[in-house]
Amino acid sequence: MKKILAVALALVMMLAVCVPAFAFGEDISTNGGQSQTQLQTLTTDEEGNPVAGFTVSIPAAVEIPWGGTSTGDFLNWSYTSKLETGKQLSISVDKTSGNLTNGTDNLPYTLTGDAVGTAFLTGEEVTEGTVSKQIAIAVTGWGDVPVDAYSDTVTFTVDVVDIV
Amino acid sequence: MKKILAIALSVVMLLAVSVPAFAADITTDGGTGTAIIKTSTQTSGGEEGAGFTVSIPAENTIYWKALSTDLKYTVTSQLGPNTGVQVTVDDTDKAYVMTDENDYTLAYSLANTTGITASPVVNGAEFTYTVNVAEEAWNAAVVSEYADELTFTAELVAI
Amino acid sequence: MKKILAVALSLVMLLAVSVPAFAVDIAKDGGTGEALVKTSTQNEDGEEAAGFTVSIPAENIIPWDSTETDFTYHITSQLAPAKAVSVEVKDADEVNQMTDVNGLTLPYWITNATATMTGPIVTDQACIFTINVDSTDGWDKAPVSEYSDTLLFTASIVDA
Repeated sequence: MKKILAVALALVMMLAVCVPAFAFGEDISTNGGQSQTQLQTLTTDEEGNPVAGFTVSIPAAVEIPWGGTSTGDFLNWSYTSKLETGKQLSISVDKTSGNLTNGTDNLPYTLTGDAVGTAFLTGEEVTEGTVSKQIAIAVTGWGDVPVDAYSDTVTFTVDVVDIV
Repeated sequence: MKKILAIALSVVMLLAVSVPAFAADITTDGGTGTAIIKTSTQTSGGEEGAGFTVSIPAENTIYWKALSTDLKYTVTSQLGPNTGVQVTVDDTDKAYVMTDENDYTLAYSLANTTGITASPVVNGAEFTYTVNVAEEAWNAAVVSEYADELTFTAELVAI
Repeated sequence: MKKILAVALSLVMLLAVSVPAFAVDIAKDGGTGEALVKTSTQNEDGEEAAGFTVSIPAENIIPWDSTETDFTYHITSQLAPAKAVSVEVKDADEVNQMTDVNGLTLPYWITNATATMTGPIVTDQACIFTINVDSTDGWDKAPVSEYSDTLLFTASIVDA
């Protein structure tokens, strides 16, 4: 009888030592005892709203003095992003050139810069602060049309895409 | 740099000699500018506008026994201000003798031999000079056709 | 707290005076936004770009005996739509007589005295006015001299 108990006790003790020293979420009740817990973030805030996001800021209007500016005319835009892992922004404008018009006459213009012609990829999930960008606007034919206010609309489109 | 300066100077000099020089530019709504119009004294063909004509008849008839015969010539002129035409009549050889084909002679004298226009612009102004033949000369002369040549000299004078 | 509020207020005021104010933010995947590109009618120095130049010659010589003499001036303009330059030429003292240094006179009159452009944009457009002197009552009665007078050009912007 004693031998059986001894073996059983040995078995119990062996089983006791076979169990990993750190157990998750278990109470620690022994001196030196240890337990583990897991930290994990959510992609939602405490109200349950997704926290991943971005802002691409573009001007409502860009005014070009008649004849253009000697140092160049620019459409200044910017972006910030805080996206999920593996995601980036893809930003593009709807044209590389066009005509400013007063309804009767036209002033042709071309655009050059990031997001023009080819979508601009931010390349990172999280920006360090606000990133500023410029699109150069080159207008021609100033002397060919009556002096008036000519305008056109440039449309930006922003997509969240995978970082490849 | 020197070449550029030389070209720039040439351009400036070329512009400087170009005619006509524009004296006024008007650049504001309601703005004004003035220009001078001026006549030239030359015509469009480059000829001098001023001139005159003294018209003298080829022949002047003196009737037999006429002691005093008035003969005429006309002057047309358009000259500069304060300028007139002076015409002087004189015997060409200054002998004051008419001769016929047989060399018979008939003496005469001239009067009113100088005429001066009263204005720079006259049109067919008539002037009279006088040929005088004395009665004694007529009486002594063989009846014939006597002639002599007169010279008219026209010159511009201040009036 | 007060310091933080003060800084925030300064930032807001600074942003308020910054030009241009960003009016459009795109914050949605696939979102779009529009920016208006437009010209001003002033150049970068703040000067009104619309303008014109009427270039008139200093002297206009009339040959003696010429009953009709044409003279040329030039107009260059870039104006607002449906506007045009109009130029009128007349005798400055409206007596229509040329005079010489001695006070002698030579009457004349002007034809083709008004020129109006057909549109806002013309480049070095040549315009002609004519000085007329009558042969009988003018040239034939005048001592040959240099007669002159001053003409007045007036330029204005009219509807094209």
